[in-house]
Amino acid sequence: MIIAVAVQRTLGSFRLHVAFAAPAGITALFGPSGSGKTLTLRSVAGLLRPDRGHVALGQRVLYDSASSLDLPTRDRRIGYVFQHYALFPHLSAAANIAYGLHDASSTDRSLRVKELLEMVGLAGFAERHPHELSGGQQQRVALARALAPRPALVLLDEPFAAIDSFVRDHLREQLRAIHVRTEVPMILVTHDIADVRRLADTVVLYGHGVALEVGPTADVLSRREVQIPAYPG
Amino acid sequence: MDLAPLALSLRVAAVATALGIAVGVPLAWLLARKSFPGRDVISVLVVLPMVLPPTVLGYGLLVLLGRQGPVDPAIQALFGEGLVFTPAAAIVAAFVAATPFLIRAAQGGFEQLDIAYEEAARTLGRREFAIFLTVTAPLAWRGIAAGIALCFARAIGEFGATLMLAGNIPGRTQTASIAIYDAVQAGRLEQATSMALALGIVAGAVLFLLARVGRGARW
Repeated sequence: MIIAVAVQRTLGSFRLHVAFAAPAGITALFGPSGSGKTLTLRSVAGLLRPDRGHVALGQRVLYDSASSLDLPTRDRRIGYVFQHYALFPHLSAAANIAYGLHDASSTDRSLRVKELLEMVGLAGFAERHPHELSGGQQQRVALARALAPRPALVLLDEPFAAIDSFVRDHLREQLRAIHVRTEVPMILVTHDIADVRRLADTVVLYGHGVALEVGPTADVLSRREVQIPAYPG
Repeated sequence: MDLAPLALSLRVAAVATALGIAVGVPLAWLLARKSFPGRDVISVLVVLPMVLPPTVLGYGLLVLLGRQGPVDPAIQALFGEGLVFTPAAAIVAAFVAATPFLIRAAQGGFEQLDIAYEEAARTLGRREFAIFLTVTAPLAWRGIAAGIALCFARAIGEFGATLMLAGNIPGRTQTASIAIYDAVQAGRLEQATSMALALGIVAGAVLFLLARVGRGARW
């Protein structure tokens, strides 16, 4: 499946004008803060309406300005892990994960929640509320919640930015393992080159509102190695 | 002590608050979340009853809903009688005077809520109304509960607009606040005192209960 994204959007003086196509796998949108990576993610999820463009997952068109097609977010089947996770504070971890399983029977729902809690290594934390979980645990609940309705694509906005550096590597490995197991394509936004190296099959290099380069991670990095600065957090 | 005015005040305030919730909570959400034509005009209209003297409010309602008013034929057709000097008029007056307080507080509650929660719910395939019930309202509950308490408090103390629109008919439209005024005017100070104390105690008890419910957030 090819993920095709072409969006244009003007917000004040900022102009987003990106186009890229990525194969299934993990794609990293890599670039400095304010280069339009999150805006791109929001356009793919349908949380931001572009001025014009086209978004498709394989044959399934989600947005197309030329034919006035704009699928509402709830029908896109795209999981989203928000930068600060946006876990519902009044619901337990299990209820957060179950939130997108409203159409399932209660038996199926609880089985699926159990399966996901085990997948992210939080089997004993079902009844904890978000404020009783560490940052890394919250991130994994958010990932489990996004995966629960079996989305066609998962978007992750700076998934490791709020995580202590000594658990970051472990969480990267876990994300990679979950990706291999679920085979869900993922697009993650990051300004940390380590995320790109450890996780991404494809990288989209962002400049100010544009995609400078797209390609397999190894190729892009070897061509660009000298020029890529270590973007400050 | 004649308890009829107190009972009427409670009934009027309860119904006006229920109407206030039905109209005010959705309106507060719209004002907090959506931009639409006429939004600024509605914002002003919402605040206006809070700043106008209640007599002006009551007079405005009288002109609009009274015998010669443009809405009177519709009221007559629907209910078979005019609105003015009926218990329903007391409810209308209390509703118009009190609902703005609910709207302002609930709107504040919605505005403080990070929209990422609602966006997350959307990405999980839920419909807007379900999201409102399961995410927005529980998370903005403190603001909504504060609004309900303010609305009830304002409604149970309503005086000026009620007097203009519903009048002072003992046993029919005479609310507690009007009965107190009436008693003082007539020099029945003992009656005024007991009624004032009773109104204070009842209103205080209801507000106390509402505050407890408002604090009942589960996280």
